[in-house]
Amino acid sequence: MPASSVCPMRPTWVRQLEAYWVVDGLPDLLVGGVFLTVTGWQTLEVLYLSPPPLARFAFVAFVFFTVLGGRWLLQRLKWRLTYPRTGYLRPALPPRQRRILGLLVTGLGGLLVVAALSQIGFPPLLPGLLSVFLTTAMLWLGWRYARPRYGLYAVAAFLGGVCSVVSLAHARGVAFLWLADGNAVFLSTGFAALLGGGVTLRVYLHRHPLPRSVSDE
Amino acid sequence: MNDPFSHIDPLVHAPARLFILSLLAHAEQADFLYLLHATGLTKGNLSAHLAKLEKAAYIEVEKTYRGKYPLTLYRLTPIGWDALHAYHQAMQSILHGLEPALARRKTA
Repeated sequence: MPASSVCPMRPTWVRQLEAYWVVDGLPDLLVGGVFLTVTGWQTLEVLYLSPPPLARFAFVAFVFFTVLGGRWLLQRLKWRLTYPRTGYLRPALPPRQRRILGLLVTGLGGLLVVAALSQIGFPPLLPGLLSVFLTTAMLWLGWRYARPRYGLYAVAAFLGGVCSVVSLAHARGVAFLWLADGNAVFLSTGFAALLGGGVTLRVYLHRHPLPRSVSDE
Repeated sequence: MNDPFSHIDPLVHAPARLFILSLLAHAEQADFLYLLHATGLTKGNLSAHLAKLEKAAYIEVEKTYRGKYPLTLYRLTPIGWDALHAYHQAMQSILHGLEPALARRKTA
């Protein structure tokens, strides 16, 4: 039984239990895929400034499905890949009040950011803000789950932001529009997440071959 | 609690069972395979400990299917939660009482 502890406040076994959701790299692959799709879409939008309505609808539907159906999709994949190998765990949910509060804070925060950006109309700020947000989020996830690969994603998000902010000053036309939408940040973070998730999944599948049968009797 | 030692539940106190109960305290449900991997116990050993905990009604078992795969899910019962809580309190009391002696030993 593991006795060492990464952080004196939270023993290793608790961290391992909490990190079970990301142990296989599947969430990273999903996030990486979404980020690269967003980049691809925005690149097309920049190149063909008025995309057909059907394409715009497809993109909105994709984002909507990913946000709402991402967890469902991950669960389906986990039932095929993860749970038959290392077992099923349904983590305890936080109390109902805390969940509602979290949703409210996230929703209000999102609305405030959107409102502020639409009022200020500051596209050059967007990549920087996005980079800071993603870097912070990745560092927090890395600390919470004690998974170094999130440090790699944080570095990628940070470098993407630096690249955008530095390049924006000199960029013109299509290149300016592409950078101002935060594409460099999405591209670098998405690529890092896809790479990290892929390697993690490969290592996980290699370490945990499918057992022939598990009897609990 | 005058004598916390008498409040130590031997069923909870065994390291393997304490580990199982602690894992289940953090989870809503876990299956046999997960507990097997997380605890590092052998199948027979884990089965024996789970059977003891189930007999004491500290955990409940749900046998179900996911597609064609049989799935045995475990969760803590209210009795199990109470036992874990009582154990936690007793251990806290014992460790608190030990602190001055350990500090004295450290400074000696």
